[in-house]
Amino acid sequence: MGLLQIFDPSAMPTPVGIDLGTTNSLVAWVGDGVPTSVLDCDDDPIVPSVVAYLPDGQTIVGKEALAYLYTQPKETIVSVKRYMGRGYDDAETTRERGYTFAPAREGQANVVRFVVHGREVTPVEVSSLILKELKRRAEDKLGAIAGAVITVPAYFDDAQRQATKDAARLAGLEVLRLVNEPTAAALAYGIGTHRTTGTYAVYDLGGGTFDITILSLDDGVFQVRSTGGDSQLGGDDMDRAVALHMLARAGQTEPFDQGMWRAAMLEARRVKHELTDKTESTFELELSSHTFSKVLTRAEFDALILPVVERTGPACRRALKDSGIDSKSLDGVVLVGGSTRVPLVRSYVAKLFQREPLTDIDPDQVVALGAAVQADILAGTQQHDALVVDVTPLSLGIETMGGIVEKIIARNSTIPCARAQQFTTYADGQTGFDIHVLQGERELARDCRSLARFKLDGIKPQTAGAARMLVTFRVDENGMLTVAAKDEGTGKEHSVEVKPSYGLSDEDVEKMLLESYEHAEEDLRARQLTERVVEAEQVIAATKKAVAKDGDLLDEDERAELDGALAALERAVQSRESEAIRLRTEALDRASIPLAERRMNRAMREAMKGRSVESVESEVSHARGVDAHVSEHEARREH
Amino acid sequence: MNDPFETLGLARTFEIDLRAVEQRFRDLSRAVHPDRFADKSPAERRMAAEQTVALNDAFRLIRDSMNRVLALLAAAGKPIHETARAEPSLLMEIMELREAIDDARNDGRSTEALVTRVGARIADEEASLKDAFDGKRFPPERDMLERAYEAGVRLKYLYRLRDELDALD
Repeated sequence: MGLLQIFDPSAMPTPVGIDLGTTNSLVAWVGDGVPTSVLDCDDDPIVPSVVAYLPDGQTIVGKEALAYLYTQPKETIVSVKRYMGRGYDDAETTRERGYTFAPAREGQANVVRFVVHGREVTPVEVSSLILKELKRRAEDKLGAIAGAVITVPAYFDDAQRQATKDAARLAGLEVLRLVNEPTAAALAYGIGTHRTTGTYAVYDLGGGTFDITILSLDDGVFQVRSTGGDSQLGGDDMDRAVALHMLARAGQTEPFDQGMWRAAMLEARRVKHELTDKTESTFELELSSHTFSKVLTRAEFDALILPVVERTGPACRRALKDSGIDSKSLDGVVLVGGSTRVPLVRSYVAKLFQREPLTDIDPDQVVALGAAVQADILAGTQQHDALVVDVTPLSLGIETMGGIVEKIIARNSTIPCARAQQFTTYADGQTGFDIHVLQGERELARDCRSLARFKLDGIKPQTAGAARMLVTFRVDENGMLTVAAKDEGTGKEHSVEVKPSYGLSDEDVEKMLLESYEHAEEDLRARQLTERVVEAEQVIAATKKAVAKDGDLLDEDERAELDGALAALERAVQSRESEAIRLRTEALDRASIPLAERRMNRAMREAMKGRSVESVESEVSHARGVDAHVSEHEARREH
Repeated sequence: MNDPFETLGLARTFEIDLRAVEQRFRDLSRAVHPDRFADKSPAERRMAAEQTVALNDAFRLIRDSMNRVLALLAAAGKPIHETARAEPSLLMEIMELREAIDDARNDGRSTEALVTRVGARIADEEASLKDAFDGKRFPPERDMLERAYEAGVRLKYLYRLRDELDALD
C-alpha cells in the first residue's frame, strides 16, 4: 500500500541511535519494534565520515565530500575519530602523513588542530558536522528527534568519550547515552535473532578501532563480562600497510607527496574491498611521469595485513581470561565492523575461537541498529524489555609517590560504579592536594593515559595527618569519570575542578557553540529557556505518573507539599520566566525525594520477592534488608 | 565496606551458588538500573544510579572469596583490620612458598606442585569458614567465629600467593 508520508507536527519526537564510525556513520530508529537505518535518496544507509572544508568556508559532509579527497587532500578530513580525545603530541597524530597540524599555543587545550585554508579546526568540530548531517537526515525522515544514543568503541578512554559528547553538544544533539559499540551490536543481535540465552564474544574490527567483548544474555539482560581492545587499530592500518607496499613497488620513497599518499590510501582501500571476493586485484598509482600498475594477489595482501590482524589476538585472549569463560563454552562469536569482511580476519577469528563466526546481521549496520534499540529503551516506550549491563574497559587509578599508579577502579568493573579513597595531609599546615587521575593497566603513571589533574584545596591548616578527605571516583553509565570530594572532619563537600589532560574545557565548547550562532547572546538565552521548559515538563510528567501509581506511599503532609510544588512549577512554566522555572524545578525535585525513595524501596522488594530461591527467602530475615539500606541512605542525606 | 549479602538480600554463607547470585543480581538490576528510570523524575534517577552503584559493588565483592570472608567476619562483629598480621609460623610458611615459586620460575620448572600445595592449604582454612557460616545460625558461636577469624587472616596471605601463581602462566 503506497501510503503518502505526512509529517505530523504533534507526533512524539523519535529517539535515534547513531553509529559515529571511523570510516562510515549511520543513524537508525525503532518503528513498530523493528530497528531500521535511515536511508538516503539512493537507499543507502551509510554516510562516509568525511568532511571537506572549502576555501570559501563552506563544509561538505559524506559522499559528496569524497571527491575533494583528490583535489584538496589536506582540507578533506577522513578518519577523524582517530584524533578524538588525542593530543597534538600523540604518536597517532604525528605518524599521519596527510594533514597539517597546528601546535597548541600557550594556555590552549592540548587537542589536535587541523589547519584548513588557514583556519584551525578540532576533531570535535569535524565530528559535530558529521553528527549534524545525520541529525538532518533523521529529521527529514522522522520529524523531530528526541535525543540520540551515540556509540563509541568499548575501548575508548574518558577523553575520547568526552570528545564525542562535546561533538554532540556542538551539533545540538541531546545525548541520551554513550553505548559501547560491541554491546550495541549484541543488543541488535539478541533482539534481531530472538536469542534469549547464551554467552557470546563480539569481535568488532572497524575502520580505526578494535573491540572484543564477552557477554552473556539471560532473560533479556545483556551482561557484559569483559571487554578489551585497541582504540588505534582497524581497517585504516591495513590500508596503510598496503599503501606503503604499493608506493614502494612503484619506487616511491618517503616523504611522499600528500596528494599521492592520499590517493595511495584510497587505492589500497579499493584493492582491499576487491580482494574480499577475488583472489587478485590490479592497483594503479598516478606518478608524475606515468601510471604505475601492478597485480596484488590475495596471498600477498594477506601477508601484508597479517601483522595488523594478529594484533587483535592478545586482547581476545585477555578478555576471555577476564571473563572467566573458556572459548569452548561460548555459544557464538559475532562479527561486527566493515573490516570483518576481510577473509583473513574471518579465518583468523575462526581459528582463535575454534568455531565459525556469526554474520547474520550486516556488520556495517548492526551497531547503529543496536543503538536505536537502546535509545528506544531509554525513551521508556517499552517496545523491548531488554537491559544492558556494561563494564568499564580500563582501570582507573591515581598517581602516588614515585610515579606509581594506585588502582582505584579495576577494568571490567560493572558500571555505574564508585569507589572512595581517603587522603590525608603529609605536612603540617597543608591546605591542598594535587591529584593526577590515570587510565590504563600499567604500573607506572608515565605508561598510562593521563586523564586529568585536579587540586583539592581549601583544607583548614592542621597538623600532618589530621585532615581527612574522602575522594569518590565514579564511573557513570556512559563510562565517564566524575570526581567528588568531602572533608570527613567537617562533612563539607568540596568542589573539584578537573582539568582534562586532553580535550576541550567546557568554556571552549561553549565558545564554539556561541560562534556557530549568528545572534549569539539572544540565541543562548532562548535556548536556555527552551531547555528549562522541556526539563520542567519532563519532571512534571514523571512526577504525576509516579503520584498516580504510588501516591499511597506518602502521608498527607508529604502529599500536600508535593502537590504544591507541582502546581508552582506548572505556573512558572506558563509564565515562561527562565529563572523561576529553574527554582521551581529544583523545589519540585526536593519535594519528590520521599516518594522516589519509597518507590525504589518497593521496586527492590518486589525484585527480591520476584522468583527468589526459597532458601533465600527463609534466611533473609537475618539480613537487615532493603529497609535498613534506605533508612541509612536517608540518614546520610540528613547529615 | 557495605555488606554485599545485605545489599543482594542473600543469606550469609561462605560457599555461594553463583547461578543464584547472578539471578538475584539480574533481578535487582532490572528493578534499579538507571536505564529503567530514564523517563522518571531526577530524584528517582539519582537514586537509581546510587542503588545500582551499591548493587554492582556488592556483586563484585560477593564473587571474590577474600571479600566474602571480610564481609562475613565484619557482619559477625569480628572484622579483620588492615593491620591484622598472621602468626610467625604462617609468615615463615608463606616466605618458603614464595621462595619456591621464585626458584621454579627462575629454573623454568612447572609450578604445578606448588599450585596444588597452596590449593590444599587454602582448602584447610576455608573449612573453618564453612564450619562457622554455612548452614548455621548467624552470627556463629564465639569459638567458631574465633577460628574463622584466624583462618580469614591466613587466607589473606594464601589467596595473594594463589593470585601470584595464577599470574605466572
